[in-house]
Amino acid sequence: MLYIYSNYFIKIALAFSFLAIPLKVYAEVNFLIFPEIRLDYNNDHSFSSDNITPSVDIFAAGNLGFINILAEGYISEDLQHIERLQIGFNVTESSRIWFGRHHNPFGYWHTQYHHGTFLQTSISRPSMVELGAAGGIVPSHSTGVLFEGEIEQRTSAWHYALSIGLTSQLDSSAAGHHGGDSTASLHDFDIFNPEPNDHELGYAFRLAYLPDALEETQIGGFITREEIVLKPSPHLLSEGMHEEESSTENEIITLDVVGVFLNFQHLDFHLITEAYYLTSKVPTEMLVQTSSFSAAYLQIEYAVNEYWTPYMRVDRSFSYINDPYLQLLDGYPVNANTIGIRLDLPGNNAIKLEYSKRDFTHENTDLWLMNWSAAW
Amino acid sequence: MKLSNRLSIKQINILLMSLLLSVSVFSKELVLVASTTASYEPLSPFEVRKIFLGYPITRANNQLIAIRNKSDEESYQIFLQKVIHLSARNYERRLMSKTFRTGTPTVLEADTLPALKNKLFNNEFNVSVMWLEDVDSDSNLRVIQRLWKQTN
Repeated sequence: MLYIYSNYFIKIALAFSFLAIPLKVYAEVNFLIFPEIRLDYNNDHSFSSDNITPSVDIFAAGNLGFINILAEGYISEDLQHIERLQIGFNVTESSRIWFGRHHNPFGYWHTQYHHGTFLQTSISRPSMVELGAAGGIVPSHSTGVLFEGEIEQRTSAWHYALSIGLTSQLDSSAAGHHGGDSTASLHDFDIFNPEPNDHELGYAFRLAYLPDALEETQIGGFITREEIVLKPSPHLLSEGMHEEESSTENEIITLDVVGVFLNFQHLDFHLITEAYYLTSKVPTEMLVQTSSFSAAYLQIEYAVNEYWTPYMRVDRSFSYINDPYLQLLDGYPVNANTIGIRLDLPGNNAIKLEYSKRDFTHENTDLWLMNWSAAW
Repeated sequence: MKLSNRLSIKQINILLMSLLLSVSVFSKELVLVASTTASYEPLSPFEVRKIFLGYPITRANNQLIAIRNKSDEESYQIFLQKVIHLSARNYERRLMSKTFRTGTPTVLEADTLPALKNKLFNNEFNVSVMWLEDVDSDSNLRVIQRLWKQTN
């Protein structure tokens, strides 16, 4: 166990060592640290130390001449990951190209908050934008090329992002990470442990319109295609359903997602909503099953004053019954109702309390979450 | 009864002097400032807000670099209210979020006036915000434009 930890710490140290170079040459390196202690209580299980999850997300970005470098690492007791490791340069004053592992550019929430839990008002993420390894349904990261930029028109702006890279693998035997409950989950390409044969390409294009380029309000849409390698469970292998050794090609799920999103902020009122339509082609023993379902969420927040922000969220899925893709991802709550409150404290600290009633395809659970998060 | 009958000339002079002093003390002006070597055109209010939110603004083919003046709490609060239109908490979070999302550098800051002046002297494309009286007392600084004036 100690070996595994030290191995991951070496990887993370290696990733951040890139930034030691610009630190010496060019003093402008931005560091951010997002620590979090999360407590979760599920009505199906008794509370124990396993329900307390400390974690830290470490971020750094800097320049080495015209080269931009960005690194982000996430460390918790169960999981140590390089979330992002990007090297790129500015193509123009308002466009950049990146190479490496980056956030898959889809939707609003995923591109806005990711692991910086302090930055998001709630503790949990909406079900449909949950991180892949925590039971999410859309791959979180891509390893390849990301081209992004802004086009300004007077005081409004368009933001665009185009990504091509190795996408996730669906491991039907893996336990959930990132606080998830799933027994099967999406696993991103690991740049320090590359298994390129187990990952295929994913493509994403995202476009957002900001009526005021300097405000957060925006409306947009995206389209993605993910070729997800299906890694069969040992149980299935033992039954001879997926003979890995005799198979010459991986079984691949094709997932197409189109979605729209809206983020509206006016004074102390904040509304975020997204709606996705997902079409999957899942190989089964006899044929390839094509199926579609849709999902949406709406989160409303209101800052009563500088300290208190209550919020609520509704997550819904539609036409999901017997969907072959969702049957592989049993950690995805198809419906959820969430309420919570956030208390902001001086020095970029926040304490949050949240309750969710979540419906999975085969069970319902009540989930209580409490966390302390900060940004340094 | 006439006022001149009640107050002597000396008393009237003292009153006028007090009035002038009070006007000069309370009529503060917040200005956008750079070093005297800077020779670019003023920015629009949108551009001022844009540069202090960490977005690029170019003058004479060079990118301007904003520096937040945190040496004086009163001027910083007025800057937040009148220029940025955000609370200190929301401003910090906005900058942090942008850096975390895009990897672009955050807006620099200076905690003391001498440190801020040094940064302005070092690069003519560095700009900041300070009281007009602080600029007037330093011949190496130049007012780019007035941002806010106290109204009595």
